[in-house]
Amino acid sequence: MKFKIFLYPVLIFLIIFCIDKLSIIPSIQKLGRIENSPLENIANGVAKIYKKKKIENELQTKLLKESSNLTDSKKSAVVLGTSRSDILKFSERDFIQQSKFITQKEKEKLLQFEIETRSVVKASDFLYHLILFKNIVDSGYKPNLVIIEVSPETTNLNSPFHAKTQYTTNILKYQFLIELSQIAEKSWLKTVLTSVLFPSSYYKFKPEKAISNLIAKKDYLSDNNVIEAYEFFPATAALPTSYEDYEVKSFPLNKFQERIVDYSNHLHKDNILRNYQISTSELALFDLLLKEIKSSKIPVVFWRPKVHPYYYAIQMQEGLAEIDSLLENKIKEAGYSYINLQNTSMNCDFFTDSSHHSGRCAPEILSKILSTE
Amino acid sequence: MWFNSLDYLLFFLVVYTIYWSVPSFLKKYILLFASFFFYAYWNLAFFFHFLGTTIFSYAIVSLLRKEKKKSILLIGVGANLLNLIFFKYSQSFINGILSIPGNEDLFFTSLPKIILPLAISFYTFQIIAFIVDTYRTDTDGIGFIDFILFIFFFPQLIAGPIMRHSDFFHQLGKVELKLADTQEALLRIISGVFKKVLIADQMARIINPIWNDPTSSSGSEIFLAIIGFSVQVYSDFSGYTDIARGSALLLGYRIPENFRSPYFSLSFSELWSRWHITLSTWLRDYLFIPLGGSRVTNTRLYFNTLVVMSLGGLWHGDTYTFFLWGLIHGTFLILERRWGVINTRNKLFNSCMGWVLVTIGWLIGALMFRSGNWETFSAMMSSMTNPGKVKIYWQTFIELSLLCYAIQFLELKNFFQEKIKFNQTALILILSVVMYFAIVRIKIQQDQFIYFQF
Repeated sequence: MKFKIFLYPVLIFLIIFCIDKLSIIPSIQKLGRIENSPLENIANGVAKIYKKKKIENELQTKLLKESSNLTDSKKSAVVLGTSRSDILKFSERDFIQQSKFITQKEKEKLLQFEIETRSVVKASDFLYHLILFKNIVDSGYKPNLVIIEVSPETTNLNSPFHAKTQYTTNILKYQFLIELSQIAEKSWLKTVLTSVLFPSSYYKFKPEKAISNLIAKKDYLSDNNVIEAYEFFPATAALPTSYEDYEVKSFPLNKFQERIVDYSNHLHKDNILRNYQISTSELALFDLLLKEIKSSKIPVVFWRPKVHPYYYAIQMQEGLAEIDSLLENKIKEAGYSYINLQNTSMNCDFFTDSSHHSGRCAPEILSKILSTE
Repeated sequence: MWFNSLDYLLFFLVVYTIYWSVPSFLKKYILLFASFFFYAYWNLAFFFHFLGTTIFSYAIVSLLRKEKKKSILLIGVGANLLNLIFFKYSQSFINGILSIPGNEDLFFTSLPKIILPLAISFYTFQIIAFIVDTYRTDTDGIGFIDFILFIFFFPQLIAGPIMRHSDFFHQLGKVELKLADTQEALLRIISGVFKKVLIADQMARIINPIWNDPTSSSGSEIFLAIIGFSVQVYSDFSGYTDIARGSALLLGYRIPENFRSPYFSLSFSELWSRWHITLSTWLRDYLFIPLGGSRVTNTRLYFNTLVVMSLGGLWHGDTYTFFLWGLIHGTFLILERRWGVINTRNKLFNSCMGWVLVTIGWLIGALMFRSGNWETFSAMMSSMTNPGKVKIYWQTFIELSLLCYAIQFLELKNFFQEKIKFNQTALILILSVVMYFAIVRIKIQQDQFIYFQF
């Protein structure tokens, strides 16, 4: 009898613990979980685009085989990165042809590629790159090239866009949560473990919502229009006429203060570079990304974006040169190409602010990246 | 380690399992070790400070047992009070000195910031009560280990209830597993989690933006923020107490109740016999009665009441808004004693008017209590006439307020006590599952308990 009483609260706990796990059964989870998170919206949105492209590619390959008159079409390049990669969308045909920073031969090579930038996410990190790369693989689409940005600040444990934040603002698959719990640092291990042990709390699972969705034959995606909208977003764009950028040494005084000095200080004190401390979790996520790339057999090239010399000096002061080398070594050890644009001579030296190269330079940046292929 | 955290859940499961698996004579050592771990988990250095304070206090107790000298009593009580005053009030004193223009260069600026040790207000009062009880009566049978366990007992360590030796020691060594106790304990924990997570924390999300920026809020929002805080503070503290009592009962100990439906009080004296009962009775027994109690002249009685209530206010916090909170409640008690409660032939009218007066008085106090400093208090006061609409979540606000009163009504009347006995297991299981899924959907969790800061 005593033993039964002893077990009483333990059994109550175990029953709840088991009921909680219903939320990791995919068919049940999709009935009662929280609405789509930002990363899922992007992943699901671009997956639809990839699937469409996959079908187009298969059709084209079939036609090429059937008719010898047809020539091979453009190669595809998918870009994964942060706002520093976002400028690569300025790669429309006319804009490339008008660029005065690259040679005709470089333009021709560049025009062979169709650049897909809808998978670029501002303020993302290696966790985003990894999930979005997996997304390409899962869609079955094999682009000719994937261009991945490696900004050294991504490895900052105290960045507001570190994986520990991205993990809480997004919904990840349970299997991946378990992987995260193995690489999470002490500062966020507890929250990941809570999600792993009590997944209903992570997926915000509502049993009554699951039941009503089951009756109505709906799921959590039924009312989500974001994914559909994604298809209509343009993959590339022309540089707007109102685009504001300045050559590295030609910033007007007030703009220099605002866009270079103040913005650098903001990044250094309150943003991606605040209290720089190397994150083993982000490095582990980068290793997972390399592993995923390796098994996918998709060609990938990595690039390190160029920043304004003023901010670069701050990066160096924080010891980011070592991080650049560390990431470069990892990439090269895995057998992939890497270009550090900070150490590369460029004709286009325009910036919009201390952290972002100008979209005007997109053709030259892409050209440099492709030259490493 | 907060009660509403995963850490506590895992900690308690481990302690519970080991505790009931070992022979009886080992149980108190398991509890002691668990309690040490519980406190040291927060801060190891302050654990040793706490342990040192407890050992010193037991030395005083031992001396008092040999010789009941007033000087020994004063040393024991004084040292504990000095310890509390140093940690609780000296930082405010330093800040006050530094705020005087020209005083910035004083050596105070070079001092490290004084951290308030967790639970110091609660354990100091518990220790003082034990020392005074030893002086007044007899605590001879209570040994060193038992005394340390009494002070460190983890379910009530952080925010009470403040225990007396008569609440605890008669149970020591006699604990046993009983189905009725286990069921009651689980229902208490469920009730506590409900009050804390589903009422207090949700109300906090509605009203905190107003408290954080009163000047941008309308007058009506200011009033609602004060009402909302009264709902929050009851649900928070009472919720904590329920979890503490439930945890203790799962380990076989019954610790005292702190609340008896205080928001249904019809007079201020009734309010203080229903709100934070263990503090009220402590203040009565160890401060009010030594000052002469009620067997003095009216003037002296009013003075004693003001002193006791003001010090009770200061016990909560180191700012004068807490002092004023105590002072104003002391004033209400004096006014009530002077003029009596409303007494007409219509009993319903008496009750209604009594309830209205107590509620208004409580809300005035709540404004001071939550303000915490003069800036917020004056900003709240000056914003009371601000024009504008109410932009808070009305529906949720009303639902939470009604829930707060409904729970107290059920507790007041013991409404379901007999009705639910037929199948407690099914009830506990259903409530646990419903509660679990109500909690997991909340986007932001784990607010600290309000009384943990004291």
